[in-house]
Amino acid sequence: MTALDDIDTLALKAGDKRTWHRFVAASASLVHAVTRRVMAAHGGTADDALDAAQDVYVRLVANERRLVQGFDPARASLATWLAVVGRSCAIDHLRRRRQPTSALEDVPEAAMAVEGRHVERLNIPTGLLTDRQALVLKLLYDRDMDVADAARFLNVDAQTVRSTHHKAMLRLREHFDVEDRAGRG
Amino acid sequence: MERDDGPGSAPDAAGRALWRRLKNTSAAPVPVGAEPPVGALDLAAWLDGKLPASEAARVERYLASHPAALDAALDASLALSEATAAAPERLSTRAQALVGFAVEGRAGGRGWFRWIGSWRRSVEFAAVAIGFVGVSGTGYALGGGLHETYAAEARRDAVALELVTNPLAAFDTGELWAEIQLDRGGRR
Repeated sequence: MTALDDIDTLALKAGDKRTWHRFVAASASLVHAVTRRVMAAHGGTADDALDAAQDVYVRLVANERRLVQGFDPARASLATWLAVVGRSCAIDHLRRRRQPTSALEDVPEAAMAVEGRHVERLNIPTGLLTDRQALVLKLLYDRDMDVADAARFLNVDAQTVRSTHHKAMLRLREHFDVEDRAGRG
Repeated sequence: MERDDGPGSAPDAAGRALWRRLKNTSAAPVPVGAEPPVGALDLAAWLDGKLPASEAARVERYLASHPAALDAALDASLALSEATAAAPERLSTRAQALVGFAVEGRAGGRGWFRWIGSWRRSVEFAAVAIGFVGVSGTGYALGGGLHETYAAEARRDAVALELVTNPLAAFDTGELWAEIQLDRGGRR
């Protein structure tokens, strides 16, 4: 079977039928894995996951393959991009089943991947933690991930995660010590 | 063997307590223009580790403050490692059939000109036109063509004119006249 990395993305964007067949054959397990994960998290069934996976492909080819046109092989791998887009399509599929809304393929790419409207701010001065440190703490404490999983997600080794956590804790303790002393004084 | 940075290098209860203290969760809409959104390609590039440091920091800042975006990144990352089981055959079969069908060119209200201008629509029009011409031509040829039609019409017009101007000549009375002559001769 062809790997996604071997797909000719230019031919895919041009709508070449043979390339599309190879793309589907190479990507079906990934797309299905994404939709299974999304549906499982939202109480969906195996059939729902299959419907959502089918919908991912429909959206990929809709409007003259508009979603596919947004892919840039110089920036990311096709598999990772497809996982992100497939996940967004699956979430959109769920939303549309609940209430009609604008189709994902009609939404600008820049606003597509991250659908979060809720913002969580940390109650600390800006710059106290680096972006990476804040993300590591979030993964370890909010998401209850273990160090190995967080490391895999961040594409670093486990020791780097531990080190990042340690440095973040030092900064936070220092900050709150100063704050506590100021409060007592 | 992994090096340990000492107390605090791994998540613990003290760290969790500290984390709770600094969290101040608010459900507020993102102010427009305050933070450029992270697109699918940005997120994929970050997951692949292909972003330069400044871009990666922007994505990480976004993920740290947007729970839904972090969910998306985690789901995509985990799905990539879970995509080992083969998908049902019917998924591939149906998906492969999508290219070349109407859904691919679904215009979504882009207007007549785009619809007419698409090459596939043009080919369809041409095929119908060629078929129409072919059927018409065949029927016409079988009917004898223009000359035959005009000739038949001219003959009908000539007979009608003869009937008005010279009613007797309009009929072939030769045989009738010969019979009359024969009868007369016979009586003789």
